[in-house]
Amino acid sequence: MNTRYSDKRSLPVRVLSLLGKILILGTASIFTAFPFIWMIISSLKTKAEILNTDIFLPTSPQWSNITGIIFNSPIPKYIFNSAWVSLVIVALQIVTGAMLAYALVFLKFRTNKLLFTIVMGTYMLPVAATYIPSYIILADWHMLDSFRGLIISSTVSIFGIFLLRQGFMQIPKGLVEAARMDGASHWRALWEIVCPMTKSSFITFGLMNFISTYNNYMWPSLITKTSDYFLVSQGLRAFFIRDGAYGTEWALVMAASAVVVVPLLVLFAFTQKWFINGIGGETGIKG
Amino acid sequence: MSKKKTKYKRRYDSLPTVLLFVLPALIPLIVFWIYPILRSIYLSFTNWDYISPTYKIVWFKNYASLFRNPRFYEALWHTVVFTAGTLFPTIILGLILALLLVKNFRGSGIVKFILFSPWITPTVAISIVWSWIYKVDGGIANTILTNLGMSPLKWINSSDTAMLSVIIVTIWKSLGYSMIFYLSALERVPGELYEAGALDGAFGWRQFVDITLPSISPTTFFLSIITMVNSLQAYDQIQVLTQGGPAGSTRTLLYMYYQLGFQEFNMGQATAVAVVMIILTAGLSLIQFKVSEKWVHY
Amino acid sequence: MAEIILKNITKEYENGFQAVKNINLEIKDNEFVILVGPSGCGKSTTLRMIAGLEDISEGDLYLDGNRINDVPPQNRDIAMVFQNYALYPHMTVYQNIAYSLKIKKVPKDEIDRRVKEVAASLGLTELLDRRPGQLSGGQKQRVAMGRAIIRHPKAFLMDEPLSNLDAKLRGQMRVEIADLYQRLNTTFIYVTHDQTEAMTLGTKIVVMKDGEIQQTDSPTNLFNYPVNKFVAGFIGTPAMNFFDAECAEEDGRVVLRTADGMISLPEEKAARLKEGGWLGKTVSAGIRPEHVRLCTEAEAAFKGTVSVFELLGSNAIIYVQCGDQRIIMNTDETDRQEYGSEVCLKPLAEKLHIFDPETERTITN
Repeated sequence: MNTRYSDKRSLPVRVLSLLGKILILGTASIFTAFPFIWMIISSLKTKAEILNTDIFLPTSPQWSNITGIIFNSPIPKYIFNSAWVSLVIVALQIVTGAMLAYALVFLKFRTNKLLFTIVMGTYMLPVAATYIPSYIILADWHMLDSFRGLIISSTVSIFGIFLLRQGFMQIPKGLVEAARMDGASHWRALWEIVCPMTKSSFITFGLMNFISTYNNYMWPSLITKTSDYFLVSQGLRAFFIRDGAYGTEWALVMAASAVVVVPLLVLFAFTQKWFINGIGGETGIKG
Repeated sequence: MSKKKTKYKRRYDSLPTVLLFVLPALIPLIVFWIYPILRSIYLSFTNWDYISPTYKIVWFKNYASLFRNPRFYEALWHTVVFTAGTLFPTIILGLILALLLVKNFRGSGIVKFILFSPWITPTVAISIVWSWIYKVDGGIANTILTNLGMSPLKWINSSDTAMLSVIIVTIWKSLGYSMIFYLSALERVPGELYEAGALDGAFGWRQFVDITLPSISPTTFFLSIITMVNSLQAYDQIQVLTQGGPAGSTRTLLYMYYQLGFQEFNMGQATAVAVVMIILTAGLSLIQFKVSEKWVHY
Repeated sequence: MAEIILKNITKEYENGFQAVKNINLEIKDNEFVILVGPSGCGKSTTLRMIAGLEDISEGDLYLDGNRINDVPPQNRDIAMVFQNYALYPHMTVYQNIAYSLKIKKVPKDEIDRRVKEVAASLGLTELLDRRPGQLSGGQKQRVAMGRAIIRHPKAFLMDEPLSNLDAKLRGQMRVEIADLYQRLNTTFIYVTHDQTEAMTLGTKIVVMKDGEIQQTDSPTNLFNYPVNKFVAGFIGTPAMNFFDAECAEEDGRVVLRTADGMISLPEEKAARLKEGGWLGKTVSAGIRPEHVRLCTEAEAAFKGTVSVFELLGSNAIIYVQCGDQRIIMNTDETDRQEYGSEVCLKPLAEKLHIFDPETERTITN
């Protein structure tokens, strides 16, 4: 709140409200951060320590748990799978999304509004409702259990279309018209005028969709059965339940989770502003 | 494109251009979104079992048996409990945190970072961590409860607490998301509104109710739809934590759909559940749109 | 080199609204054509149809003899200066000006030479590395023109290019545009609602209203021989005074009877009125403020009291209230007229414009 007046409340009230604020934010932060901290602490414990509830910190950190995961488990392969599949998918989603958003905002054609209604309607539908027929389509195309199947079924992001459309609508129409008068085709106008002007929407789009594709679980786990094609979520779950035994190797499972989660937290630390500005600021929710 | 005398048939951008821009997104959209939805509706009228090459149209038999099945009503109820149990805390707590964080202070950046971080981590990974936290013997959650002098819970191992456990994880995961939305909404409330309000004597609680809440109502509306749609589709945390159990106590409609379709291969029944979910989502969105006309101020 | 012909051009929107109704216009090479009219008259729509930014509902548009209705804007070889300049904010001034040449794949050193040439001619050399956000309104305007000039287009379109500038800058840029036109020898089509810009810049003015062309003429003819009341009232500041008068014959001379007296008409106008059978009927007459004179009571066509006196330096505007009618007078007699003082006015009879009160078309021009 941009209140620019001095606080006229009495000193005790101000101190109390400050304490309340610290208490609430502190509790929320600890509650939120605790699972991550506990994951890291647990990943460094021995098999005996981890089952002993009296021990909070490991006596000597078992780094071998972590290096074991990095060098002697399929987890890095799953991370690699997730990373490159997500990169390809996001690249495709950006191209298809930018083109459709450009058409919705800058092209004139009769079915423009209808098209937008369809896209809008699809946004609200539960994706899962499409899974059975989509599964059948991929089966017919012999693309189950392959990276191709994963990629081809995710080339469009409706969220991304919305995000870019919202960004494009901020651009004065005259700019695109000026580009057209300068001799630019729509294609050039999109990539040379509109895209640089909405760079932040594109970055937000890329990061958010990269993260959600990277983390995606349900759909990839339905269509891939061979561990060669596992994305990280599915791989982690397979690692968690391997040999049908839950919870025998908690330290290793935590180490695996940490190896998956920590790089994402680091990535987030560097790109935080794009998420924060992008989510609230440019999805065009007024108010 | 000869001389166009017919009115309204004209267009400014040539058809090839429009198609070039629209088709790359529209074709996948049709193949993997629109066609599957229609196909799901069609399949819900059949008795297909995925293995057999042939199947019969059974019309509303799937729906009839669904509506006679107590499991369905259980799942529907779980869905309602789960959606309500995640929607309200996520929105209310998100708003409270945003209100406390909207004025920057030393360390506010770190608090925002922490609160948002669950959203970017894979639900599967953090659900595994939570299942370790929830472990009945030797889990940290029970250790804390015991140390606080409370009796330990059975968390995900009991049908009484399993849903609560899943809800806690879901709120934990989505709280940061709603907080970020509210933060940017609060930042965009024009300062003059508060100044005008101050001149009218609106401070504190009055200021919040009369100025802040109406100004951010579009965000509340948007968040309630998004959170609702997400809750209706929650799968990852249920799959990792409980697989719908114990005794079906965390089986939502979506999980039921998954079990019917991909474990029992009862495609007719599964798609019937899918259609119910579509109708439910559409219906709830529509209600929210209608209700929102009263309290959302653009 | 460009000759542009608009043949029966109509613009109708999906909702049935006709923004432009069946207009015909021939623009010869090297003309400076002004489309002028009140807002919503269809002038911008017409310009945008010529640019290719708006589709043409009916009719044909020719550029140098080729029908270009369906040619997309990037292939028309026409440049346009937009009202809000429409500079690319992420590009420097240099890149903004060079963009069209870059698209045409003009060699880099030629682009460089031409950009510098254009920048020098517009006084932009110092600003080439700046971005539009760092420029003043007038500088942005110059960049927008530079971007158009560099292409050597067949025609320049300008859509209210000066409307975002303050009054002083507007006057200055008007002179620069006139100068540009002299140097470039190209066809200019210029849209404005400001009749001063229209009169000072154009070689041919097209007055539009409600999607229709009212009159197409040279500035002088438009001022002296408006074809109807709308054009007469729209062109000239302060606007022309209109009053109703009865046409009569007295002592063999044709006169107009006004509220407070009468005006005897010169022969040519008298003949026109007689031929048209207007004797004994009421006509609508118009006189420009600069053609109203103070006079003796005997000569007076109007008697009234001064309501406002505006001294503008070399001339003064006097507003005189004559009953229900207000007559505005633009005079170089700058002696202060006191508020409320009684004055007598007469129009210069040879400068009178007389219109049919029904159709509002001119009778005497």
